Amino acid sequence: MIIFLAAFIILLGISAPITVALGGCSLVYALVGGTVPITTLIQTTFGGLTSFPLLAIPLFMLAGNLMNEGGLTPDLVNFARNLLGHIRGGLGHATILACAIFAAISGAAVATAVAIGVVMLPAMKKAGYDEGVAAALTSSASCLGPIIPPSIPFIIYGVSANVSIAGLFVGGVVPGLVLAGALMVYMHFVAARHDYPRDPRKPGKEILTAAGKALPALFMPVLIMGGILSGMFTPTEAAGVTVVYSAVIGAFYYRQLTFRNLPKVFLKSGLESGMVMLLIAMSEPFAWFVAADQIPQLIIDWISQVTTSPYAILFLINVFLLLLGIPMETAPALVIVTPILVPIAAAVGIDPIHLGIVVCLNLVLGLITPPVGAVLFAVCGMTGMPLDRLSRAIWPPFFVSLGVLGLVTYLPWLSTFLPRLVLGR
Amino acid sequence: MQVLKEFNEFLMKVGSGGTILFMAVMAIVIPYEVIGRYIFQKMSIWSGEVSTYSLAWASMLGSAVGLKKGYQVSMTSVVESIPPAAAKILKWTAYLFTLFFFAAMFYYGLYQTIYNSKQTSPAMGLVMSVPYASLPAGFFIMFFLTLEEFLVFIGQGKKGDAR
Repeated sequence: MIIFLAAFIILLGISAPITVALGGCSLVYALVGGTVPITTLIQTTFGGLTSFPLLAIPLFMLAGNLMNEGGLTPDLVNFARNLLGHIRGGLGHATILACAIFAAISGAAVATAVAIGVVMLPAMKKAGYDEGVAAALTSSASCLGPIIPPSIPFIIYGVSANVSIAGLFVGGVVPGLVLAGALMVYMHFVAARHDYPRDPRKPGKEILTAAGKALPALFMPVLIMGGILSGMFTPTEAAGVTVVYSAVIGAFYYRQLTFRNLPKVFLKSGLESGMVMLLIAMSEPFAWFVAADQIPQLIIDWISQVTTSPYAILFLINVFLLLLGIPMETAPALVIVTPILVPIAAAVGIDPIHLGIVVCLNLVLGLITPPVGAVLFAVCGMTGMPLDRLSRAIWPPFFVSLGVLGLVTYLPWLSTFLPRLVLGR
Repeated sequence: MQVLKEFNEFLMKVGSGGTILFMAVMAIVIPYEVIGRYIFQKMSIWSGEVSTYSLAWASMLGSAVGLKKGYQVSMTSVVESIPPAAAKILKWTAYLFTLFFFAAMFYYGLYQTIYNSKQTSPAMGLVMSVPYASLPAGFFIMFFLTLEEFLVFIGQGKKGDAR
């Protein structure tokens, strides 16, 4: 076990790719320990690459990219602005709403930040919003991407922890809405303090026209969740249906998607999902060695000498994940911690769906935790804003999101009552 | 170095083409399965295997091509916080281990591919070497792309030859 853990920590420290660190420690263990054949490493890696539920990852990524390329986002943003632009902090609220709707189509935070930010950030700047406030709000709201279903982190967690992905998708709805609501309350107070301008109130007819134009996009969450909840299809099949739906409306309704740009979209999605899939594949032998060496059991024994309270353990898990999320992205952190945390949580009676939502929300916040965060980098790249400035501006909405994480952690029914109600889990 | 660069450009083209192809297969087969079930009232026995084996190929080729395009992540906080000379030694070590890892995974992946040449998949009767070959193929590309990057890092290649 010492060889295994030491190899992993050393490889991470010397800046080897995380996939190499995950697979490399298993390789070193197999070579040096000699008790496990190296073919186990290949077989478990192959097993990780050929899992049917994981097909949902490239397909949801493809659907999101097809939507973007198909020209859906401007109509979505226009609808959100027509609906909420006239209230105090209206553009900020419209950004949050647009992110929430986009989150119900895409499953990733960076994709949400880029798709919505590219339209809303210049609009907020033009209306007189402080650039730092606008960028920080967009960054925080993009965290809705992986919490409101569908969600790439939920799929990764579900497969690693052997927990129902449909259950996680349904469980993420209320925490996602609570996060959106909390950010809207925050925006209201910021707008009141700075007296940000409002859009003129739009007539009902204009709002209906905007809603009509955005209808194909607004229907997509209904298609995904409706199909899964009605038992018509699995999350993987929902992803496949979403791909076809995005391609059809992109080509025939919005008329932006052509056969010529399809290979580009396929390649982009293949590269994005390839990175995540290799991480998952490499985490399979990692998880196998972790289980074989009974590492979670050792940690459970150690923790149980300190406390057996689920609340205290959830607190420790949150602190650990917040620290881990600073240097590490969501997907690698998830594949590393899930095989260790799930048995620990199970030992003290924490619901695996509740744990999944706490872990994913926590690690997603890592994307906006300075100084390292993929969403912060993406928003800085779009706006040309220095990272230092966004790193300062992000703290207020980050703490609002942290408050929501606290609520989701200590009010388990926020995550579990909908799955129980709808799926009977 | 020039030969390696040209060889890697060829590998990138093959890898990109393969990624596009297998992504397209997945994007067609999974919806086809749903449509077949509800509209044509029939289920295919091959769709599960075709889609999951395509996933293996798309993932290995996509992650290999993504390596060159900066999609692979690593933790750089330790290397960035120590003196440059020490950081260079750590990066050297990381490159050498990465090359060793990709070579070992290629070798054992190839071994497993050959070992499975007499096994067939349960539904389609496909020789299992076909999906298993995605592993050595992907690690082969990753090895040569990393080798080029390493040679640039140690000053054997011209700046701008690699990421």
